[in-house]
Amino acid sequence: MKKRYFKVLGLTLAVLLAVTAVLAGCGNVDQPVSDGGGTSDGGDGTAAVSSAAGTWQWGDPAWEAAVREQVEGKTFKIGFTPPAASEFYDIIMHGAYTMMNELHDRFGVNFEFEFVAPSEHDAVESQVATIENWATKEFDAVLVCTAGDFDSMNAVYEKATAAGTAVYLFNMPAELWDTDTIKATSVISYDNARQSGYLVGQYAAEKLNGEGKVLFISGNDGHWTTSRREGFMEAVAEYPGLEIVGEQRGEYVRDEGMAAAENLLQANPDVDFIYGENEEMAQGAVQAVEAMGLKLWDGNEGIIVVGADGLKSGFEQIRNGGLTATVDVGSVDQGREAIKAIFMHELLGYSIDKVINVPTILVDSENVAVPEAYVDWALSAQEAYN
Amino acid sequence: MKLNAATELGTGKIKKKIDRQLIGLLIFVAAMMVVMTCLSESFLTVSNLTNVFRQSVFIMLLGFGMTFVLTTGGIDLSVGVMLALSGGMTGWLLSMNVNIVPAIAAGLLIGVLVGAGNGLMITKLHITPFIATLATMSIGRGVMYVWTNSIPFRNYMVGGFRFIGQGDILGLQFPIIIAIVAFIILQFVYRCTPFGRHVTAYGSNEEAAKVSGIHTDKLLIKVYALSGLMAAIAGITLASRLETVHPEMGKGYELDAIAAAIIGGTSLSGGKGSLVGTVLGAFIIYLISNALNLLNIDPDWETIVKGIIILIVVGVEFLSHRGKKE
Amino acid sequence: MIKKHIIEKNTVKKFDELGILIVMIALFIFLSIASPFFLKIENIQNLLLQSVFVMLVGFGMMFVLTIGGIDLSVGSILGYSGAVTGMIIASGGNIFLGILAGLGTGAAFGLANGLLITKLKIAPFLVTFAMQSVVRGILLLSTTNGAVSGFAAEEFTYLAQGYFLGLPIPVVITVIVFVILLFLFKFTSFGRNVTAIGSNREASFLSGVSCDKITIGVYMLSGLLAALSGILLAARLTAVQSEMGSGYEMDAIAAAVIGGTSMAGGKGSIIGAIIGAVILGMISNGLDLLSVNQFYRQIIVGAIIIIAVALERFTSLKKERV
Repeated sequence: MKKRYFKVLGLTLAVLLAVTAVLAGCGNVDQPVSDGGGTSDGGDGTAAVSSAAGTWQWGDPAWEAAVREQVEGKTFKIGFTPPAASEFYDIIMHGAYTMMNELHDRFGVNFEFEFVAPSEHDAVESQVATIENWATKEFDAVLVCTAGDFDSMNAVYEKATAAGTAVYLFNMPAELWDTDTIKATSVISYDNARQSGYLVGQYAAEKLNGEGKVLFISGNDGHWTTSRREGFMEAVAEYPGLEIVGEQRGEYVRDEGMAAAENLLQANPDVDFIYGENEEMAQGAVQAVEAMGLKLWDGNEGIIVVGADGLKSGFEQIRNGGLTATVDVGSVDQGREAIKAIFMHELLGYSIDKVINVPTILVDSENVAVPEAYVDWALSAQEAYN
Repeated sequence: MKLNAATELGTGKIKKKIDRQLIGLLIFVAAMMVVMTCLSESFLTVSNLTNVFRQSVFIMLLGFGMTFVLTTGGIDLSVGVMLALSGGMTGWLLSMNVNIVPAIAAGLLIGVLVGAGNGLMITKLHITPFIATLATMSIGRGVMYVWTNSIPFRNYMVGGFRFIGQGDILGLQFPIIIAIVAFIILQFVYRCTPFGRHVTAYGSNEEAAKVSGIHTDKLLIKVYALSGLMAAIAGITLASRLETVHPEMGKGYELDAIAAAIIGGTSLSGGKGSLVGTVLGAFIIYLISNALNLLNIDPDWETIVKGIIILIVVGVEFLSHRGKKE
Repeated sequence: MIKKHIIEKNTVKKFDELGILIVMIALFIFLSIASPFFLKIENIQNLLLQSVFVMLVGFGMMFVLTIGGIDLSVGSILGYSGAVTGMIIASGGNIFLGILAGLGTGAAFGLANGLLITKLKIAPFLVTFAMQSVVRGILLLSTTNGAVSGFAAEEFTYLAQGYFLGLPIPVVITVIVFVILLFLFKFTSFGRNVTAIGSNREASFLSGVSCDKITIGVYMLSGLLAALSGILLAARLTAVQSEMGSGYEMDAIAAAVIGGTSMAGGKGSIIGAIIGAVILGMISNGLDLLSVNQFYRQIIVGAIIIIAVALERFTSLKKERV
C-alpha cells in the first residue's frame, strides 16, 4: 500500500510538471514579447508610440543623455493589480505599456511587468495576499487599485514598503481621504466627485435647462460610488428643478443595471435623465429604455443616458445614438502617469506629489473622436520594454 | 416488489407535500400582489408583470435544469459559466459572420458538452458533484477571460438574432415563449418518460435504482448535459438581450437558480422536485426585486428585505403544512 | 444497508486524509523546486497567514457538512462580526469587550440559523442563503457612511500582525482552535453525535440523540468560527468594508470537501479541512510566485482541484478494493 502512495506522489509530481511546462508557454503571453516577436511584431507599435509622432515629453539631449547614463540596462520590476480583469483596466494597462515602451526606447531602462487581478471584485484579502507575495519576490514597485479603502490596505502597504517594494495607487478616489494618512508613495488618479460625478450633474442641468426627473443607478457600495454620488448630488443640488426620482443598485454589470432601469422606468416612465455610474450599467439602461419602447435622446428630446469610464463600447454607443454621453476618466493617462511617476521618483529620485490627478473629459457625440483616438492609440501598443 | 410499492407510496406522499408547497407559494404571490397594488399603481399592470417574467426567464431556464440535477441528489454550480460559454460561442461566431443557425447550434453544443463533462467527472472520476462543478465553474470562467481577453464580445447583433432576446410574437416577448416551451417539454419529460422517473428513483434511493437495472452513470451524464443545454439556451437568449457577452456574464446565477428550485419545493437531498415550483420560485425572486425597486426602497435595505422575504415564503409553506396536519 | 456501509467505512478507514496529504506534499515539493522564493521564511509565514482565514471558516463548515447541512451565511457573518468588534473598539470600547461582542454576534446568527432549520424545518440551504442576504444587508446599512475603521489600536492589530515564536498570531490561534475542535469532534459525545446524525438522522433520533440541540450547536459553532475569522481579518485589514468575506463560503466548503468531508453528511475530517485550506492557499501563493498569466489562473485552480480530488478518490477506491 505504501508503494501505491509513492506512485501517486510520483504521478502528482509528473502532472504538476506537465502543467508547468504548459504554463511556461502560457506565462509568456503576459510577459514582455520575446526578442524576435518584439522587434518584428512590436515594431509598428513602438514606432507609433515613439519617435517623430511628437509624444516625447522630454527634449533636452544633454539631460536625456545624463538620465540614460544613470538608468541604462537597469531592470525594474513592477506588479499591476486592479480589482478586476476588465476592459477598463486593460486600457489603463495599455497606457502603462506606452510609457514603459517610451522610457525603454529613450533611456534604455528595462521593465518586467506582471498583472494579477482577484477573481472577485471585492476580494480585498486576495489582493493583500498578492501584494505580500510580490514583496517576497522582491518587486521594485506595485501599482494597486482595490475595492479596499486606504484604511484596510495601509497595513500591507507599510509591510511592502518596509520590504523594499514601493506602493503606488491608481484609479483610487484619494479625495475621500486625508492625504497624510495614505501610506502609499503616490496616488495617480482623478477626482471621482469633481472630475466625474459633478460633470454629469452639470451636463444634466445644461441639457434639461435645469429642470427634469433623474434616475440614478449606482454600483456596488464602495468608495467610488460614494465619491461619484457626492459630486453628482452636489451639481444636482445647485438646480432646484432637477429631481432624483429613483436610485437603485446595478452592481456595475449590464444585466443588473438593465433590470434596475426597467423596474425604475415602470414606476417613472416620464424620466428625462438616467445616470448609470459606469458604462456597463448605463448601456443596460439604454437597452431598458429601448425595450420599453421609450425614446432615447436625439439631440432635442427623449431620455438622456449618461455613463462613466470611457470604454470603446461606450464611444461606439455614443456614435450610434444609444448612450448620450459618458465621462472618460483619463484611463490612458492614469497608466502613463503612474509609470512616469515611478520612473521619476524611484529611478531618478525626483520628488512627486502625493496625489496626481489626470485630466478627464465629458464625452458626447460632438467630441467623441478625441478621447476615442487616444484610447485606440494606447490599445494598439505592443509590449516592447525590455 | 416490496421496494417498488414503498417508493410508489413515497412518491404519492411527496406529491401531496409539493402541492402544499405550491399552494403556499401561490398564497404568498397573491398576498404580495394585493399589498403591492395598494402601494404602487404601476405594479399590477400587464407591462410590469411581463417585465418581471422576462427578467426571471434566465434564472427559470437554469432552474429547470437545476431541478433535474437536484432531484438526482446532485448540484450544478457551473450553470452560470455554461451560460456565459454558450452565449460567448454564439456571439463570437456571429461576429465572425457565421450564419445564425450554426452559431446557435454551436452555442447549444458547448453547453451540452460542458454539462456532459461534468457528468463524466462525477460518474467516472467519482468526484462529488459540488467539487466537480465548482472546478468547472473556475475553469470555465478562466476560459472566458482567455477567450475574450477581458474585452466583452460585441457587434454581433444581426436582425434574426436580435429577435431571440428582444422580439415578440402576438405581444408576447420571445424569451417568455422560450421559457414556456421549455417548461412544457421538460414537464412532460419529468413526469411522463422513463428518464424522468429514473431521475426521481435515483434521487430517492441510489442503491435501489442501481439494483433495479437503471444505468445510473448514463442517467447522470444525461442529467448534467440537460442542465448544460438549459444553461446554453439561457445564455444565447441573454446574449441577444444584452447585445454583448461579458466574461463575467452569469456570475452568481447558480445560487439564484438553486434558490428558485428550492423555494419551489425541490429538495437539495434529492428524490423530490417540481418544475412548476421552479417557475414560481424564479418569478418570486424577481417579483421581490421589482417590488422593492418600484417602491424605491433604499438599496441598502433591499438586501435585508430580500432575505427576510425568502424566509417568509418558505415559512408560509411550513405554516400551511402544519395547518393541514392539525 | 447503505447506511451501515457508511458507518463501517468510517470506523475502518482511519487515514482518510493520507491521499490528500500526499497531494499537499507533492505541491509543496513542486513549489520549492519551481520557485526560489517559496521556501523563504517570510513566504511560509505569508502562506500560513493567507490560509488560516478560510481554514477557520472551513472548520465550522466541516461540522455543518458532516451533520448533513450547509452554511452559506458564513461569509456575511464573518464580515458583520468583524464590523461589530471594530465599531465597539472604534467608539472607545474595551478591546476584549469588542472581541466578545463580535464572537457573540457570530454565535447569535448561528443560533438563528439553527433555530430556523430545526424549528421551522426549512432547508439549511435556504435558511443560510436568506441569512446571507440579511446579514450582508445589515453590514451594508452599518457601512453607509463608509467602511468601519479607526479601531487600529496596537493591541488589537497585534492579533493579526504580530508574531509568536516566528509564527503569525492568527496561525497560533488557529492551532489552538484546531486542538480544541479535534478534541470536540473525536472524543466527545457531541462530535460522535454530529457524525451519527449526518449518516442517519432517523436512527440517531430513535436512539435518543437530541438532534435539534446538536444541529443548533453545530450552526452556532459555525457562526462562532466565522466570527473569529472575521475579527482576525478585521485586525489584519484594520477596516471592515461592506463586502468583506463575500465568497468565503465557497472557499470554506471547497477546503472541507477537498479534505474529504462529504457534502451528503456523515463523514468529516478536521485535519482534512486544514489540508484543504493549505492546498487552496498554496495554489494562489504559487500562482503569484510563478508569475502565471492572470487569465490562466482560474483554469489552473479548477484543474488542480479536480486532480487533487480525483487522486484522493483513486487511492481510497483502490484501498477499498484491497
